[in-house]
Amino acid sequence: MSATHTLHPDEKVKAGKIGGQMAKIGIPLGLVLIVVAYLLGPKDNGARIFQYGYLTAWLFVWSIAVGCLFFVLIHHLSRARWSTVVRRIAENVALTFPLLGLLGLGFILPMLAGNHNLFYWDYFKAQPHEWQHLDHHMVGKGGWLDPNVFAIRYVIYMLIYSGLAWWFAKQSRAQDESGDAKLSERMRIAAGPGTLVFALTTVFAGFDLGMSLSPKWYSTIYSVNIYGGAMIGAYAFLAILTRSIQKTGRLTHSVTTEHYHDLGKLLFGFIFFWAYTAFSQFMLIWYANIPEEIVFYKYRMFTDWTNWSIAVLLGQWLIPYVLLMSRWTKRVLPVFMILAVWCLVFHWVDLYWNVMPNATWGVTHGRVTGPLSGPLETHHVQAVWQSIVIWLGMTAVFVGFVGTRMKGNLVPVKDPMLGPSLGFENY
Amino acid sequence: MTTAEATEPGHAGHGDDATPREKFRSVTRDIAWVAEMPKPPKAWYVALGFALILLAMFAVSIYHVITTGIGEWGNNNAQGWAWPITNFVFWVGIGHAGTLISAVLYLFRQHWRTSIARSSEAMTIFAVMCAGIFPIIHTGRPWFAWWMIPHPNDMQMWPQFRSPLMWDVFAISTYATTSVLFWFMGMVPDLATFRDRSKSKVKQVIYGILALGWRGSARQWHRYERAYLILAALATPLVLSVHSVVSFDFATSQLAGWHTTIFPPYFVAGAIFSGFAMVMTLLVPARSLFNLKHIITDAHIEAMCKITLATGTMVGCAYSIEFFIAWYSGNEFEQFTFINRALGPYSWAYFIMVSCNLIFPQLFWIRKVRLNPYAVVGICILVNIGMWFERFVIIVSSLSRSALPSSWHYFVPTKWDIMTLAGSFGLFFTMFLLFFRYLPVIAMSEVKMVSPEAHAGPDDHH
Repeated sequence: MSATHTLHPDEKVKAGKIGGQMAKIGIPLGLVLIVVAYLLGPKDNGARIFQYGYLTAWLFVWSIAVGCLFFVLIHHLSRARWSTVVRRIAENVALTFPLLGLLGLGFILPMLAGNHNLFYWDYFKAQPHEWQHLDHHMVGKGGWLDPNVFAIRYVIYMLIYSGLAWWFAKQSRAQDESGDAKLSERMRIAAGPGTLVFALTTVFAGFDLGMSLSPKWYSTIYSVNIYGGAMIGAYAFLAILTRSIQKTGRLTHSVTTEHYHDLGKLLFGFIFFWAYTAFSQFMLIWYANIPEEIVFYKYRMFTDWTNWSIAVLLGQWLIPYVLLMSRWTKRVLPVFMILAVWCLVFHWVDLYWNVMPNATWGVTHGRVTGPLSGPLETHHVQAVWQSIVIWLGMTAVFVGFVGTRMKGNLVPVKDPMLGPSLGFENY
Repeated sequence: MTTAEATEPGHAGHGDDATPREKFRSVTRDIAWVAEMPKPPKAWYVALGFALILLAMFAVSIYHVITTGIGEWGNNNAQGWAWPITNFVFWVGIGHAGTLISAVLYLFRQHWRTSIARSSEAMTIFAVMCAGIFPIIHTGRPWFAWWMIPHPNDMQMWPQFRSPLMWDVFAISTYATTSVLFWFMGMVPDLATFRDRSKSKVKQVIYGILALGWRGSARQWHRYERAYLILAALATPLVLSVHSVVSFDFATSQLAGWHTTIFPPYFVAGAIFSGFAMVMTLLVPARSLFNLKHIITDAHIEAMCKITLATGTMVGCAYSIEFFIAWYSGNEFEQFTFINRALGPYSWAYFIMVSCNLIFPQLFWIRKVRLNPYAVVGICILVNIGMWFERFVIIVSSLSRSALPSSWHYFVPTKWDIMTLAGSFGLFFTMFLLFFRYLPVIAMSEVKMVSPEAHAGPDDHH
């Protein structure tokens, strides 16, 4: 059984300079990498591959922040104790939403400025009216998939995420000063409606930012699958970030193997959940074999993308799922860190696999074809190195953003649940 | 275990000044009293009488349908599944809360589950029994049901493994087996307590056989705990798999309104939703009837209300997503199906579904409602009605307006449809009432294990 502890007298709980250092190194380094990727990469179709790579990388960092925000919400909603010591770190990650919103303008502004190379529906809208009416599937949703309406929705999503993250972080930090237990109660009560708002926002954000890349294709479970992947990314990132903070001499007594063990269990659980949603989507579409749906898998299974599909299956699900099943892989920290990095890498691979196959579209032989159409041999994996560099750059910028939020205490020092969290043990 | 007198629960062992030993003893005494009281309350007899009448009706209706043919139901060429499969999915759903409480909440260290786990597990088994009957009688030739079990045979006939209906056979039989094992194994220490406390020779022999020679040694407890954890880990994926596989029955098809990828998690959430509602429908009156309010407390009911609210809201979100994607797809058949659901001939059923599953459970946001037993039972009954109608809407409204307008048909149930459904409640309630009277309804050892008295520290009451 767990016991109640107090903070170790020698514990370093203040962020100090660590946040500033992360920001100073991460943001410029990341921006340089992104610029280099642009300059050295292919420029055809308005640098479309760069835009798709940028969107993939942005979805990667966005999903980690989404997962960390959910971590905070569910902590309060379920009155969790064990996670109190790592909650502040998750709050700091979620606080990056306003900055991520700005980073996302990297693909929103070109669209508004008339570059129609990212979203096929945007290109479609820019075509002559008579031509558009040949495709009634697209015309019907023209009001929804409109650049201006889309941009407004994007702003709404970011405002909701930012507002939720800001409110919970504000209460939590206020408790550091006052120690008022009522603040915990207030956060617990707000977490219920907060989770509902979060869920609806994530569902529509997923449809817009991922699913609409292939606007004729649809799947009701799509955003649930994206959410599952986001949670894998968030738990892996949280574990790595916490361990990195500990390497600087902070939180060395507060966060123990027990907490990593629980992070590992949740990581394992969400790998299962992600696989469950991915299987539900795949199996039902494969079984029914309806033309407008099956294209999602057809162009991923029988083109250059075959190996990526196998990599997602093995890397995002089977290998970490089997390895994280054991107790020791979650408790021997060097091993757990390797697995966490593995999960982060394959979370990006999964997003890349989701986004990139939609990039092949345009006018071929005088005929306009949308994403996931045309001959199989015209679908290729293109300039992977460029997307990797953008992803590394975006991750560095994101780490820098997290650094800008890392101020004051790294644990909620006066949270009533801190004691049980410090003394938490798996038994 | 020590032999103790069969005494009516009083206040001994309940006060703040009671020693831990007295408190533990009071838990055993109060729970055992449900089975040991010389005569159960009159309400139990009334309920059992009513349940037996329904059960008899079930037997008569099944006999009639089997001997006359399933044409006695309102099913027709367009509505091949209609009520029987609606009832099947409804009962499988009810059976979900048991495994969730016993396995998933166990793995999540939710210790409040201990007071309600046993009766929920029992409910699961009885609900799966009810569920299993419907597809078997729906075949029209239940004497060939054994063909569904793959076995080498002279005719070289094998089940169609590519059919989700066969996956159902495997998923549900696995679920039933695991649930029975989990339920029975968890009961062994408590059955030994019953054996030791029994005065009558017959009871001593019966409980003695069921207790499998349990002596409560450290070695036995160690193995019991290990086995419990392993069974919990095995049962957890089943919570997801059973209703996911049931959802495949619909979602693998190409029928608009059935083929949607969110069905697996949406069905699971709906099943947990209806399962918890049924647990509360049964336990809220039962705890009053058998003086168990201090063990199944308001806090337990509140926690279950919150899970019902959460899962109900998830189901509501899924309804919205389905509607949105039907519009977004640009597929006129999808769009027609959903508009037809809300505004077509079955709009009354759709209205019942939405109000019972989405609107009424929102009252659980209010603490006063969660603490009012009448309100809780009332809302839970509405949820059960709503969840039955959800399956009815999915199955009947989609089939009644399929892609071929010449097949359109408005389904009307016959008296045999109604009798079979009502009768299945007779089987369910009869089994539950007998369980409540003759078996340990609450896991005594588990309740003691998580009580504050079991731990040295003042802060260890998870």
